[in-house]
Parts: sequence; C-alpha cells; structure tokens
Amino acid sequence: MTGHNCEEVLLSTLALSDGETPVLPQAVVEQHLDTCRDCRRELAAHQATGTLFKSVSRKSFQGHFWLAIVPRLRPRGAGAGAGMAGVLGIAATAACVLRGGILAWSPMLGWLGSAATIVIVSAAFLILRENPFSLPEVLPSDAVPSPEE
Amino acid sequence: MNDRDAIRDCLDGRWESFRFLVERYEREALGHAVALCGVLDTAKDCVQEAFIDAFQSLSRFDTERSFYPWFYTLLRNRCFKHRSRESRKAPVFDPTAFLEPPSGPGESERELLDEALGKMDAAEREILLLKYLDGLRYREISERLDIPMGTVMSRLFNARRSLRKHLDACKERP
Repeated sequence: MTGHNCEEVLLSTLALSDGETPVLPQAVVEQHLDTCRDCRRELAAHQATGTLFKSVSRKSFQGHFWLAIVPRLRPRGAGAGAGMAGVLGIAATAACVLRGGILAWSPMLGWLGSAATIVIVSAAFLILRENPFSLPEVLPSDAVPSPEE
Repeated sequence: MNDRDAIRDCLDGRWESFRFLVERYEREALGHAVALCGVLDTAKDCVQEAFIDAFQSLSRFDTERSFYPWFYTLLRNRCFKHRSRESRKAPVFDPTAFLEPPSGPGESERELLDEALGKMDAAEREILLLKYLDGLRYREISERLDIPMGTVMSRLFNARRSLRKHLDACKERP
C-alpha cells in the first residue's frame, strides 16, 4: 500500500472508468492498486455494480399535464384583469363622488366635475396600461405546436 | 419553436406557449420524479406543482441557460418537500417503479435491481440514476444537484456501495 488514501484512489479510479478527470494522476492510482488488495476488491465490486445498469433503461411514463395545469395558469391572467377592474371601479366611483360634490357645491361648475371624472378614469387606464374590460384570452388548443412536431 | 421562443412568448404574455415546455419535458420529469418519490401518483402531483412553480418563476429564469436543468431543481424541491411532509408515514414504494423491463433475458436481474433501488435513500438513488440511466457527466450532475464535483464523486461512490449492500440483502431474502 502506498501513502495515498484508499478512498481518494478509488474515487480516482472510478472517475477514470467513467471517462472523467481523476483527482490523482493515473500512474499514482495504478501504483496504489498494484499494492492494495482491499482497493482492488472494492474497485471490482463498484465496477460490477455499474455494469448492472448496462442492460436497463429508465422506465418511461405517460403524463398529460397540460390540461391539469391550464386551470391554474389561466386565473392568473384573468385574476390580474379582475384586480385592475377593481382599481378602475374605485377610481370611477371616486370621480363620480367628486363630481356630485362639485355639483352640490356649485351647479355652475358642473363641467369641472365631468372633466375630473374623465381625467381620473383616463389616468387609471394610462397607469394600468391595460384594458381591464377586455375578454380573457381563449385557450387555443392548436395554437402552440407540440414538441413532436 | 424551441424552449427559448416558448419562454420568451410566455414572458410576453402569450402564456399558452408554456404548453410546448410542458409537453416536451413531462415524460422526462415524471421519470425523474418517480425516482425521487418512489410512487407514481405522488410523482405526478410533484410534476404538476413543479410546472406551475416554473411558470410563476419564468421571469427569474436566465434564458441563456437550458430550461430542463433549471426546471429539475424546482421539481427536486417539490419532491423533497413532499417527502419531508410524508416522512412520518410508512413509506410506500412501487417495486417496479424505476426500470423498463428488458426486451430479452435478464428479467430477474432487473427486478432485483429495481427492488434494491427502491430500498435506497432517494438522494443516493437519484445520483445513480442520473449517472447510469441518463448518462450525465459529473459536471452535469454537479450543476443539476448544485453540488461541487468532488461531492458528486463521493456521493456516487457511496451510492454504489449502498446499492451493493441493498442488492446483497435482496438476494439473501428467501
């Protein structure tokens, strides 16, 4: 047995047999193996374990996940739209209240209330950058090519 | 269409493009999840949740990288999270879960190997299957599991040793 740690030598030998770069130089590994019976025995056992996998392959399973996943992806878009609609609804209500208040205070300034309503709703549209009243996207069954295509 | 196009489409709001990724990787993901969970039904749940996690985290995905290795880390998290939740219950294991039956002779060896794999620790089984069934290089395993190369080597070493121990135990059983 040489001065090298047996485990280091075994790791290097297995790396070499896997076509990988070993921790120790090949010559050092070979020299150690020539003198260490335990390592030779351990190495043979490891290599035998590796060969068990040569005639097998990973079991393949059929999974059709898209339809199960879609309902969990769709509400995300629709939910975001609904949230935006809520914000806009509050903005529009606030604008109407403001208009009513201005009318009650001074009927002569009714036009100011109308202008304020238009400004508030337009600002909400601009800030949100999305039309919350648009219909949710319809799920296109064939729009996306499948990977096999 | 390729993965990058599909991801870009999703990020641009065309979320239906995510279907491309799901259909491309669902079988591979299910095989990996079964190796991690040991039970098909649980694996299916984990794959489904992992795809949803991936969709919700797509904005954080670096499009210069490959999709599947990134997705694998999400799937792995799901599987291990599920395992830790279920750890108090008695383990359920489908003995024919991991390997495809061979076309020729060798059925008994395959059964024995499948059984031994099923008795192993999930993390050890995972690294063995990534190496021997998926044919990944040490560097790829290191990226997939987010561990240094040296750790890959030692974990593989320990996993082989553990498999041998379980194989011997299975052979000795009457």
